[in-house]
Amino acid sequence: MNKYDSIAVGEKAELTHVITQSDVKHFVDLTGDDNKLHVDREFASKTSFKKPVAHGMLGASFISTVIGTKLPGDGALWYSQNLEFLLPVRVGDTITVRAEVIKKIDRMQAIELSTDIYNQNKQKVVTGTARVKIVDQVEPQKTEERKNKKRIAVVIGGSGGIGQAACLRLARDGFDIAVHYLGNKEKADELAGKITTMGRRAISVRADITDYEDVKSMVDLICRKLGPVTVLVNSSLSGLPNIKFSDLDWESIQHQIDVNVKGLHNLAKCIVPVMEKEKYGKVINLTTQDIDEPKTELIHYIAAKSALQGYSRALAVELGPKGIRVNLVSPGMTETGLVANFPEKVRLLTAARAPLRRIAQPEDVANAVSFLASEDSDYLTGETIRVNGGQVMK
Amino acid sequence: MEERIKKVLSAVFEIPADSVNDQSSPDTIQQWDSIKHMQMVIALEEEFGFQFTDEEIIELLNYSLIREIISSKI
Repeated sequence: MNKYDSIAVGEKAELTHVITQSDVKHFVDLTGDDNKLHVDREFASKTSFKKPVAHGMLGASFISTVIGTKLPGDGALWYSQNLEFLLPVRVGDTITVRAEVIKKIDRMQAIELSTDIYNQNKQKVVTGTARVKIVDQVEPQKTEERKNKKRIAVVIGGSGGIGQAACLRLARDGFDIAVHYLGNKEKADELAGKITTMGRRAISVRADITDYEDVKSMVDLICRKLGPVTVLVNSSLSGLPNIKFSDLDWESIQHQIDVNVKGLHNLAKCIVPVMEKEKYGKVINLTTQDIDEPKTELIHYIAAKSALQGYSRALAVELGPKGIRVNLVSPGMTETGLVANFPEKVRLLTAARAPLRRIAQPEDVANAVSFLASEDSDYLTGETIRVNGGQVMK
Repeated sequence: MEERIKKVLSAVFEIPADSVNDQSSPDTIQQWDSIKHMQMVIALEEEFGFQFTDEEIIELLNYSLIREIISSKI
């Protein structure tokens, strides 16, 4: 509940203060108001007041204290006050400042207070009303409300090495998981079963992400079976053959662009509306260290992943105001089936040259995915987390 | 082959041969600096009777890589 909602009409606060000569002196020093009626005993004796009178605003200034420290307290923006000075206040008087909420103005998140000051004889010496806007601190959207909601993630390429680790990690984090696959149903089913034994709900879902209708059906199915998806992990990958530029045809590039860019486009088109309804979402795209440090014979792959990165960052700008974050995870060489066929020397060299002296495990990548899926990263968007043991630093 | 490599590294770095393992590298052997690295390269070339290419010399970053590169050459 925010502060405004917690305040009720009729709520009261007060403080008591003895007006001293020192108060008067400080007020003169601060404001420069050395009107002889306030500071010159002889002058005052010749007036109808007979004795010096404390500055009216000195007493009234304690209204600010009540408003700023008690009702409503921190976050009070005092924007209106009317005052009527009824009786003089003198040095030695004990004043009691009382404020009471008499009205709430929902439209402005403001309250109206009666603000009266009494002397030690219970005589009202000042009366007035104040209007105060209540400014809440801007909290990150890591609210209990969000935490209590079902957490549902879809992991594209969930049957792959990194996808699998991401599924298990997110399940451990409390997400229900839709494990996407294209061809490996057996592995996706097995993984969904494993997640179920962890106490989470899980289904395996098939879709060709380059086909919009296929993606739409998949997203509808997930929403029907699990609920609204708020996390999309896109670790799609198709075969990654090394192709020399001299042998590279456009079809090979187009294929990578279809999987990486068209795939994300279709996924975003179908899942973002779901996230918009939730006013919250996390899109996490897997890219590659090869963008930062291009390798030979991978033009098709690097071009498509670079496009994926550009798409993601542009999408992040557009979806940010809707509470949807789009980030990337960029792993270096990772111990998955994809690198199983790499020459041992390449793996050893990569590890030896990494400041952390090893290649990534799928779990290292999943840890970054977990962070980006969690509320802990709610103020990150358009960002790339590099999981490469320090091989590339930007 | 592994015993021969370990014997060379033991002699160059003045460490027991049985202390050389897959993790052995400049990170774990204090004496493995750039001068000792070149002494190791020459000693390995003498032991196995071939020469490393310039690229291979740079790639001899740890015991595992030395083993991998030598096994590809014999």
